[in-house]
Amino acid sequence: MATLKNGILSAPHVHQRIYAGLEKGHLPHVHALVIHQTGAPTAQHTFNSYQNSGHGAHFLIDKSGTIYQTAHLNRKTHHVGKIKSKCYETRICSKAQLQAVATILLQKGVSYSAITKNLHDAEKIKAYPDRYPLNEDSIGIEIVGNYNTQASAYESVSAVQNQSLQWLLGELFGFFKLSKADVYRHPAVSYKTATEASTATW
Amino acid sequence: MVKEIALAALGLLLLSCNAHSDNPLRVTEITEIGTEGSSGDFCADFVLSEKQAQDYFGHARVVTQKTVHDDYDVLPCFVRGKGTLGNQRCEWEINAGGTGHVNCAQQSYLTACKDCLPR
Ligand SMILES: [Zn+2]
Repeated sequence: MATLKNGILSAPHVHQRIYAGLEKGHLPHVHALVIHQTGAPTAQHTFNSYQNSGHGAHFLIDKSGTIYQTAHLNRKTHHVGKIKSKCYETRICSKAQLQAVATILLQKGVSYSAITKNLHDAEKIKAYPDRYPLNEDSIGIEIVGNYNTQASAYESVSAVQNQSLQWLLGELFGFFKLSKADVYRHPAVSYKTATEASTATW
Repeated sequence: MVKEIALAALGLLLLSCNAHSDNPLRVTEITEIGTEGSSGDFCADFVLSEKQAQDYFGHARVVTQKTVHDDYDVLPCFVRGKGTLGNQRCEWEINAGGTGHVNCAQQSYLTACKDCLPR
């Protein structure tokens, strides 16, 4: 039985390893959960990077299935980046929405990075769930998994990792009143490598 | 164990030498200009000449997947081709978000650059 107090999820198999450098201010609401993979072979590689980098998530699931909490759940972390258009990607835009997205995506004479920033800026003012989750309203879960440069793919999430993920999601659904519809693979939300978390199941 | 560490260090040294910008991939051919999924119009302007691809690999740095993940967009638009690294034959891809990857006979690596592409 897990408890949530002051942003800390306490349960026998959740290990606390908070990195203050990952925490970027108050996280007032949690509307969604975003699943990532680390792109590194061990948890220690990612912990080392957390000492020096401001990018990371709230939880990390090790190869063994061990769950580490790496940031308080009432603190924002930088794990999502710029978001895509949800109505465009899921093909449910109204005519006016489609026109607005197309105008941004097909703008000539600007860089692709400016286009993705303009799209993010237009999307972030929408209310969830009409847009994808942002750093400002989501919890991030990292799963340790290396990236194979030769195959251009992340390694598969293992059965024990998926078991831990499913337990963690179940607890977070209860604490934040969420459902499976609020869980996203990172590349669904942002322009990221397609195989990231593609083998995570819930 | 010591032998494994020594071999790993040698591998890293070889990678850093071979993929160093003083001795970058030599682009020999563009084989495909394409898109993932149905993003045709979005990618319509992403076209590179051999020279532009060569300039990219001349300036891009070798990065980890974590850097690609944290700092770059991976877009549905890509250019693919062939090249050589020393006496190895390689295949490469450049993504419109500024990342690339190179697969050679004996090594593969990721690249990234913020301002190395024409658009
Ligand atoms: Zn991610």
